[in-house]
Amino acid sequence: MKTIDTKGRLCPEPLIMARNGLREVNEGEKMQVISDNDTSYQNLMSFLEDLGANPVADKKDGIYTIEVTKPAESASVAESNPEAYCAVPQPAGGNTDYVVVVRSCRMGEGEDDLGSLLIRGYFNALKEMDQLPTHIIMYNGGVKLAVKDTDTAAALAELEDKDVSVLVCGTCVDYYSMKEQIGVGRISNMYQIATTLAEAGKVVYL
Amino acid sequence: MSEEPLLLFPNVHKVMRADRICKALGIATRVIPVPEEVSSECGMCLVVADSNLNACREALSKENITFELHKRGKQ
Repeated sequence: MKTIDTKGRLCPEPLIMARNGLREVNEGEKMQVISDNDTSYQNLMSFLEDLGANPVADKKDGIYTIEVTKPAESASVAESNPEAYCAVPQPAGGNTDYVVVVRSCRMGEGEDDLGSLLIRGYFNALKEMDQLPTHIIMYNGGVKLAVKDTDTAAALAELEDKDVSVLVCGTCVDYYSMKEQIGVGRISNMYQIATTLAEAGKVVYL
Repeated sequence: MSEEPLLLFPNVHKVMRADRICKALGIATRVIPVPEEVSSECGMCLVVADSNLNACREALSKENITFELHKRGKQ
């Protein structure tokens, strides 16, 4: 059986290799495509499925082996466009998902007082918006905005009520000795922060 | 629907001063952008609880800080 090894190749190359491989086999003949990349594997599956090549996948030790059968309608292979399958996946809801990262208790650089005023205005405006973030991540001086009895903490609490997840960096809370003063959000760690950032459709840094 | 008082100041420095004065007196304030129906300019204003409005007015008046009062539906 013909085998196309796409290990180490990034999209759209594995798809182009698979398409070229299919061109070289006969209708109804089986072929294997090997991949070691999750994204390439998913893109390959969508591409091969749309081609009508009936992909069947198996995963062993992080390596995907996809077995396909060249479709009878070979014109679809010739006209296929692998690049179209390599677009960055858009989150559900038309790319409206976003994460807000609060790096400081102020907004922008310049006068501290002005920066403090602006960030208070931001959170009080944000809670009234239709398009809310999925998460708000607060670290370093940003954790000070979660202190009890502040208007930012009140705004953050309202955002939590609207299913926005507020993550407060535990290391930072510890550093500033503020644990008792934090009134909103979930004390979080860098693994959760890193995971949330990695999975974010869009990140807005304040 | 209940309404809450919005205090609009002539400039952002007055907003900051008023905020500090209120804070010193234990009056909670909320900073919000000036609603678009009031002004299209980028500005901030203060929101206080209706019950604190008189105390706020008195304290700011002592400091010669004037403000324009608007009301809006409670958010």
